[in-house]
Amino acid sequence: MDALIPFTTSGSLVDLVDKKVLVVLRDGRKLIGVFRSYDQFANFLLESCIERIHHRFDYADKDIGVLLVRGENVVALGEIDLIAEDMVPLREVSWAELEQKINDETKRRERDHAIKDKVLASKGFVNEGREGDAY
Amino acid sequence: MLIFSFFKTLTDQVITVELKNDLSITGTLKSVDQFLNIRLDGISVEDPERHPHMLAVKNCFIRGSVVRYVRMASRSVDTTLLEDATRREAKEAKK
Amino acid sequence: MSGFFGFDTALPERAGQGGAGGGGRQQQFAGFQASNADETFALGGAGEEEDLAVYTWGEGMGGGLMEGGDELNDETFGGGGNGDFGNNFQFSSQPTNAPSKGYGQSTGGGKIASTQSRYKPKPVADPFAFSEDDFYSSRPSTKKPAAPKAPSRPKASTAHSGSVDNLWNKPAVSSPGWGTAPSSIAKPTPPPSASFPSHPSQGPPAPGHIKSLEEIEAEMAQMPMPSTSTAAPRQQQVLSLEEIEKQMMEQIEPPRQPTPQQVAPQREATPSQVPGLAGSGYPSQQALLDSMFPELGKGAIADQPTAPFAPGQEGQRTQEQQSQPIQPSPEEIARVEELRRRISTKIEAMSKYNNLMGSSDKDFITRIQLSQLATADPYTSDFYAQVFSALKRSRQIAEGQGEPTVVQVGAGLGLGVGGPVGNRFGKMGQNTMTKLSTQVKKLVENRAQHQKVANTAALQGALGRVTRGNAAAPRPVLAIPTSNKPEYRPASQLNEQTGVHRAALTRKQVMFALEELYDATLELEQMRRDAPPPTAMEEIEVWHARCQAKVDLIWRSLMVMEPLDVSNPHPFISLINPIKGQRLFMRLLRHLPHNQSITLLSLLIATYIQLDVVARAPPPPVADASLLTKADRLDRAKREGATDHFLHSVIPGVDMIINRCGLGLVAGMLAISAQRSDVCRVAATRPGVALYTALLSKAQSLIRAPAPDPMNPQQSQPADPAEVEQWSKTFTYFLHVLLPHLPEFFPSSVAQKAAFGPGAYLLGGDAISERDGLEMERREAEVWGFAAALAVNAAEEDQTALVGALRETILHTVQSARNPTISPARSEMKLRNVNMFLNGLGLDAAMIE
Repeated sequence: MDALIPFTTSGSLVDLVDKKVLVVLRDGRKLIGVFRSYDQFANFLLESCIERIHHRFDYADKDIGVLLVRGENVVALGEIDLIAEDMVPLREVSWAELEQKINDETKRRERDHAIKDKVLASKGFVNEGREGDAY
Repeated sequence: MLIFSFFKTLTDQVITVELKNDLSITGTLKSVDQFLNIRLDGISVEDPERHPHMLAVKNCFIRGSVVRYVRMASRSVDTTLLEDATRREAKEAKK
Repeated sequence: MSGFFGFDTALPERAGQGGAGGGGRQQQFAGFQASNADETFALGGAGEEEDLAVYTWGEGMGGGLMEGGDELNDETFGGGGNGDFGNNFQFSSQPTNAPSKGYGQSTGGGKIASTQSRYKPKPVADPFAFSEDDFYSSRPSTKKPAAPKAPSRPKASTAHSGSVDNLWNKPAVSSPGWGTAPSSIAKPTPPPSASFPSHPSQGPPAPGHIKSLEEIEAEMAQMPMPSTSTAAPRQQQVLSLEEIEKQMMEQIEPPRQPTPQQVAPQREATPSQVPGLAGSGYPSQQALLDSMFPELGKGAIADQPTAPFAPGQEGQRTQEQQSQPIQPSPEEIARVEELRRRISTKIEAMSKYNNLMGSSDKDFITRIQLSQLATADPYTSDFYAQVFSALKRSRQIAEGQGEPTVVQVGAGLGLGVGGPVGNRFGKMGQNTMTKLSTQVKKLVENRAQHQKVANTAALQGALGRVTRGNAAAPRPVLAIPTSNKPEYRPASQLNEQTGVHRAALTRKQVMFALEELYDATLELEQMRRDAPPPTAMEEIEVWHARCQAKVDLIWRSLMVMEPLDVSNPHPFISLINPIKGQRLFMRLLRHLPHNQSITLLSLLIATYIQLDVVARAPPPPVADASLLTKADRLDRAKREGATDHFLHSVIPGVDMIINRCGLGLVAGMLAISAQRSDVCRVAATRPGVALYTALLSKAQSLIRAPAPDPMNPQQSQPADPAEVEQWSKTFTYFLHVLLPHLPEFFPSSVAQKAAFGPGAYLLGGDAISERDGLEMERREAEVWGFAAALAVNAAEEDQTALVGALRETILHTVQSARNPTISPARSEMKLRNVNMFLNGLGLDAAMIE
């Protein structure tokens, strides 16, 4: 029976408890916090949690606090290497600034997509799903 | 349970998990559970430029429902046995 | 439980960067001390009093609790029907900066230092907390049943266990309270003094449920900061009952923390200090740190006694350590030290709520899942993993031969599926092929020794000039017996008896039959695994009978006993023509009794020519692949693949049966083959060559029984002279049928013959690519092995005929081996091939000029 422990959700999460983790959600959000608890459905409890947005090598953080994440929204939970995180070539900028950048880029991409779709449609191709629709 | 059973035999082998958001993670399979959640250690990410947030992550738990493909070495699969297991499973289901 | 209220929203490392001053740290330190002392006191009472109650809960109510947890889960998050939950997911209902509001000072500066204020007042406030709770719980008691428990508490310090009990025993208390809680979120309140007044303000909106939670929180958790208690309701809403349950469980862990003194530090301690919880926190990180900075040895982290210490202290200490040794450059040390300190700060900052989820919580969740996984019959639900690992183990244990075994781990390769000689992996088949050729080689060496001096002279002439000291009597190139053409053909072949004929099985029929066979085989294998213990005689009888019935069923489904000419191909051949059937071959053989496998082999040999791999053998290679159409190439590749597969999966089985046969049987097999099929056509294919090589070498090793084949020690009795006689008759006939066609069996000569135009030159010039060339030599080796097996079996005069028949081929091969344009590897292979044959006659390629 004990041999089965590695083959449970608990078995794979247990050593991550009380570690600093990154949680990626299905909508693309990235959360960083201390992993405090979980259950058999892989619902997570994060403490000292922040949301982080990235654009190229810039990032910005926003405080969240304590967060209970329902498992179905989770893509992955990864342990952050405390040493490596300081070595990473990322630069912190202000949230507003980065958000602006990301919005601009999204808008640009939307526009490109719209044009592309129009061209494709004129050739008889059907507009298919976008990035992020996969789940 | 067949695939769960199969993944169990892959523990401690290096596999690549491709997620539905096109993120591909390679690492050593440490654990898998009945939902096919996967725990990888010593991970590396394909195309890290596109996923800067993964740079400092060294091991991770991946939810089974977001996995698109899992790639593994063909020698770690016993296809004959897999066929047999499939037959058994099919038979169980018929019962 | 109030630990949650104190969560610091600031990220640990940012808190560190925030420039927590030494003074701040110092204060925090003091705060921790105080809270620890307090906890110790509070939990002390709890631990002692609650042991029993806790245990019952843990053991007895576990299942129910789990259920409850699930319900709450659903209620909290809403049903699964919320399909679009994913994208609209909100982290909280509050604006971004709400937490900072809630936490007051803690996020104000984003510094750990700021948290001191929460701890400082605590020693004073703690007694308040308890009395406060008593007060509140009794006040709402007018509305709710929560009140009655209050009086039952003898003392503040021991009370919390009692209230916890009450809470969990009270079924009425459930989630509704959760929903109302958020409304009671308090505005920031001035920490120390205001904490008391803030409570009443929450009282009314949050009904009894919240009260009780609060109570629990106040009583059981080490509740260090009343100042933040205003945030409590919100926190409670976020946290599920599970959270509380966990808390309780934690307290309930008497085995690990038998005394209150140990419980208390566990809360705030870094994980490394808690021996029982290896799994959580950052022990490994610490190990990493230690290994990274060995010179710093037991750094601050490791030393951390019972509470976090102020950076100032740490700095001092490290200064001391740094001044003493001996290490690289000071900057280096400073850098490393800085890194280490930063990381230890991070770890320390995060460690505040370590072990919130205790190991019993983890166990609990693990057990829930284990109970779902538990199964009476692991072979049903976990067949692949079970068998796979058993196979792996047994492969590791030994590479020996396994009779069809009954599961018992390690007892050979058992498990019915595949096995050592089986076809699981290509190399198994390869093994048989190498075994065959070593067998031939050994025979050849034997023969070579026998004939050393004796009668090689008679053969020399056949090869033209032979440079051998004394053998100066060159005979003219021998008159090869040419009389062995049509009259040697068996008459029986012409007038095959006409029996009942019917159409061959269709592909669909074959596939269905194979599926049935697979099912039956799987069942049989399972039965063998489930063997009753050897002591239960009756059960064994029954079990044997059942196995036998299954074997009989399989035997019938194999259709081996159908009349030979019932159809073309024979139904059994139809079954093993597809790859699926070939894979089953070895597995079935190990279940069939000896006589049945002999029967099966006889049938197989008699109808060998009907096999796809023989009837539709791959055509000879062409010099220039560009001459082929694409369809042609694909067809060739397909046929080559089929042949390879046959050699890997069926020939090992054939070899296994042949190895169990006596000389009489082997002679019989050869006779059947010679009688029923066109041996030349069969021998021109690789499966044919493999079959005949196996038969011939087995026969020869049986004739030489006095020196028994070490591979089959059981067959050491000398061969019966009558059988030897029968064998040599059959063999002679066989050889004479083959002789005129012998050169055609060599792929190189076939290729040359088939080539035309410029291709012929290409082939002759050995201009094909190195890889193809080596492959060609490997193919040639198979045929040379066959020729060698013929040679060692042949009587003296037949040997001469043999050499005569192969003269051209030998000379050509030797010449091309000496061709300087050919690669050394290939040339060596060519020589080895020829020598395999020549040595069997006591000759060597080196003798040929």
